[in-house]
Amino acid sequence: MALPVETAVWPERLASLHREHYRSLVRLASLLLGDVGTSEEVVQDAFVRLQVRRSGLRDPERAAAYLRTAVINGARSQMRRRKVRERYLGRRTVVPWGPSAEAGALIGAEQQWVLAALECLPDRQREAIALRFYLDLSEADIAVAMKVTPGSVKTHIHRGLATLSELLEEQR
Amino acid sequence: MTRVEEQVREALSAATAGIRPDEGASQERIATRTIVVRRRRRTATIGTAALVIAAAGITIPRLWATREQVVEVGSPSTPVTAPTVPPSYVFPLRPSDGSTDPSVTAERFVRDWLGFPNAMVGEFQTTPGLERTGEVAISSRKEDGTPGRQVSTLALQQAEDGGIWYVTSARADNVVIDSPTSSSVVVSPLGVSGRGVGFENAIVVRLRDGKGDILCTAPAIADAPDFTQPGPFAVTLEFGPPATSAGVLVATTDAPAEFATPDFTALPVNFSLVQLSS
Repeated sequence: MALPVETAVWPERLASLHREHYRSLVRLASLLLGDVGTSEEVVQDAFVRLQVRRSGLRDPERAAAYLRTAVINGARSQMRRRKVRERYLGRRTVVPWGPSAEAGALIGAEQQWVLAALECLPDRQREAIALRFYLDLSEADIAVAMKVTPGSVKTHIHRGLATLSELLEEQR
Repeated sequence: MTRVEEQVREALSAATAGIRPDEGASQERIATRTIVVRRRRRTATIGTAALVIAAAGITIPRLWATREQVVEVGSPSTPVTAPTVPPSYVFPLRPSDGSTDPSVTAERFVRDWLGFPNAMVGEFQTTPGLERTGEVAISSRKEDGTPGRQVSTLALQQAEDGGIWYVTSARADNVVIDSPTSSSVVVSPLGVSGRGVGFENAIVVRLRDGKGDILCTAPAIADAPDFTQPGPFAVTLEFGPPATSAGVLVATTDAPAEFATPDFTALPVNFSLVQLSS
């Protein structure tokens, strides 16, 4: 008996999703977490969840959106764990954003100021700004990924950019 | 695009430019982790299912066994409220066969269900101190059409005010079932023992399922010493999977004449899950 079409094409679709989105999702997660190793874990978790629950995915065309949401949620979980650990240990364990030697060579001084300023933003504002200016998502897609309303997305981005402007102005 | 937006875009792009994850290795890692997660889920599902089945296997027979509730008789001034649904009953197994008149329910049980067309149904007598509970005497019919000897007493209970009446048991002095007791969980082969006396001391034991179908009929001879006092009898019933979870065990004396009404006793039983699933 032949496999159902959906079952037959799924591995190919998954490979295609991986090719198209894996790298950008790892980069997105690392913008939020500042740690490439943990970011890879988070993104791989999202792919594993997608494979395990693919029968529960109502619209396969929304797989990319599902992955983005899963990565955002995974990053939030990691951040929460870090904060709990921080409180428990009574000291800061979150490593401030710092480029690797290789990446550092590619980043100018002004960009490093911008990245440092981004670190000062609340988590939700940082997520919205990363999704908007790194992944180039629309407000509607960001709302889906963050599970908030488009209005909230607009507010997060507006406030985040306002804060960044002030911080960067102070540096000048 | 504003200046700050441009700065953010450039900074994010530069910050991520150096991140080059090993995509080949990640695919293998995802595949391995997917297998592990699926295996864990399968194990958890099987474990949960096994626990549920085990719990049901233990709990349901116990619940059935405790369906027979003891209703304490209070003083006449403080009537005890009967439960809204009889804990166990023998008739009607389909509500449409019941009646809001206890005498009609009794008549349908004896004449239609048990198949004693000449049985005479007495008046319903309310049990003092118990709401919606009472008894009806069943007698044989004399040739002149008047009630003869009493052959059984039906216990009846009304489910709720204005609801139908249920026959919860039938008991007779001349045929008594000692084992199994009312609402027991039974399985084939079922040993039935009791006491009886009657025409040639012949006793017939029948097991019916919830639809009224006879699952097994077995004759026995009571060891009555002098045809006046009941003597012990024992018989083993072997029956196949019943269609329903509950049934009725009926024991009758053997009637000397066709269409005569024998003494009879009836009690509800529950079939074990093992028997139901076999």
